[in-house]
Amino acid sequence: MGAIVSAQRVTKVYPMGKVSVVALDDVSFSIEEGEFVAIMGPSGSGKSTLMNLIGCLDKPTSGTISIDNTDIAHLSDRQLARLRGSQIGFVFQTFNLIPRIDALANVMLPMTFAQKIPPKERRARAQMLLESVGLGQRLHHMPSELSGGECQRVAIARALANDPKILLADEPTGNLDTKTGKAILELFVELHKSGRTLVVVTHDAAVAAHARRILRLLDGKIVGEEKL
Amino acid sequence: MSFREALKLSWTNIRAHKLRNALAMLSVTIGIASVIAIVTMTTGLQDALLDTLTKDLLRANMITVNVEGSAGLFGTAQVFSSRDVEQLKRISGVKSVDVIGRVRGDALYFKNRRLLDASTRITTSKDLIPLDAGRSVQAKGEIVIGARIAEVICRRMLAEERQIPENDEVLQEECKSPGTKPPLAQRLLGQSLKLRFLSSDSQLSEDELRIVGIVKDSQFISGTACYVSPDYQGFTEAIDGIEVPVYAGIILSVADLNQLSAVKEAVEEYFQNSSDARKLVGEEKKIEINTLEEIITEIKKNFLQFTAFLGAIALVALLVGMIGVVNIMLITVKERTREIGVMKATGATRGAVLKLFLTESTIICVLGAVLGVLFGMFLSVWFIKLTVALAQGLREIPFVFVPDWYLIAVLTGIAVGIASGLYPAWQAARVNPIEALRYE
Repeated sequence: MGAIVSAQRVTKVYPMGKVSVVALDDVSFSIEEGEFVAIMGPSGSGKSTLMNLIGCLDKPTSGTISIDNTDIAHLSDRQLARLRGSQIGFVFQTFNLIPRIDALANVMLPMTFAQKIPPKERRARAQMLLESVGLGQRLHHMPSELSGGECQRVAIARALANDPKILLADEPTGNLDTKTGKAILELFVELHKSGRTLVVVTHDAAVAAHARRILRLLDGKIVGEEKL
Repeated sequence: MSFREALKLSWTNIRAHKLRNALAMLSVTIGIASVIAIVTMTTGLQDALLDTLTKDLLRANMITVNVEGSAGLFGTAQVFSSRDVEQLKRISGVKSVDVIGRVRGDALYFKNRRLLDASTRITTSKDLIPLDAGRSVQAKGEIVIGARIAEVICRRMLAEERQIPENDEVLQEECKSPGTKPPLAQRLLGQSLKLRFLSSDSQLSEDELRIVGIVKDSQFISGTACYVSPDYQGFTEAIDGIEVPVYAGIILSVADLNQLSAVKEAVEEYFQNSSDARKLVGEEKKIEINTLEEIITEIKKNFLQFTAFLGAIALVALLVGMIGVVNIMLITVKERTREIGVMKATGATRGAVLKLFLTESTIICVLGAVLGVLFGMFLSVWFIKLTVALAQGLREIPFVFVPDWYLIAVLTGIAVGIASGLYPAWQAARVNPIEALRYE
């Protein structure tokens, strides 16, 4: 299996007025296809920046970062959006569902952006994905009618909408109680078992414990790596 | 993101804020409605005027000659002499030359009571004045009365018979447009009027006249003017030491339409050089020589200016409406910043975001425009009623459906939607997803 994410001497500097903040400092690593990796670190360690780079939301100041062998530094805005849409599935701490449309429509939304799944198959695929996260009975519920755990399941189904190479989760259990959070993590483990590449960004050791490899970040550098 | 998908999602978004989007829509509605109302109304007025002109008064083979001024052919300036008429008759291609003028010192009486509003004119034309009943004047001692004068006579006649006051409401209603009511018209025809006038030798004279016709009741034809034969002509001017009769306007008709412009040129040349009218008018005013086509062009030009002026005011209303939409869209973009971030994270390109917000503002504006068209039609009917009620003599302006303008209104809706959505949508498209996802 080849590297799906490859970072070579990645540095990210944010200009903040007169001073510059180095968020990532000469970071190199790679993630293989099918891996379940946790990126851990306290707040300010640069893990959000790293997630933004893997998620193609941002470009590095120097160094190269490749997603599925594509160096994102040379991509246009439009190409980045396309890459995000087709290869990356985001799961956010606060779920970020569109409140005015039902669960099914939320899952279908990324499909309309990426145009990867043919229009006729979208509804059936969205339904299948919601069923696979255990929400077969909640297809037409609005986000406001769903519990936090259910919302996060919808968000996971949405992240899988375009069958992406990487599932990228940012503190996915941060807004959930322990029990619900655990169920979500079990869902991640299942997804991993079915061959999906997972990257979870967290400061919670209990969450990281579900991964097979942990990258520890501190002050913009990788300070440790452990395999579980 | 396909157009249909954008449409569906935008519609969902619009429905989420029904009240404020409805208000934004309403502001566009008002703008479009005022444009539509004004165009429809002025077009109606123009069509009514042209209709009267082309169907009732003028014919394509006619050339009218009059002194510059608001009343035109029926004006007070009597400058065209009988010698001018004779000269015009000699122009090749001219079939007939008729005159219109006023009776000097005229006063009309019915049953020894003066008809106050009446003005008496002479004409040699047998078919210039359209009639509702009877026939045109053919001899001395005959008169054709205006529609309003016919009403007055009708009321006096019936009030006397029935011993009721003339201002009785039922009677007034009964005597409206008597020329169009055959039994009343028949009774009016044959009634006699007394005309007092000054003859050409300045003698005060009197004559008994029999009503032979009633002028068509139309908003653009004078209802108070009555017509008698040229025998009552009394205005003269001394030109080169000779007293000659003078008239207010001349109407020429040509035998062959193809000769119209040639005849017109000859008429123009005549009045430029040797005519009596030129001597009387001097340099003070222009002698206007027009064909029907030119009159129509002139009227249309005037109406276009009028419509453009009022339309410009209406456009201001539309502009205000647009600002309302821009405002709402800016708020919407701000509110949905986080969602825009999510959409971008899940693969939405700038173009897709732009499309989504443009679609939203366009839906608002197109709905506003469609409602505006309907409301504008309603408004113009109401406007017409109001104008008719306020302006004396104006009646039944037709409501004119101008299909072009309705299409233009809807296209304007789309254009306004895009124009007012452009800046907010651009703001949305350039949202930085990282910041947007952090936005509370």
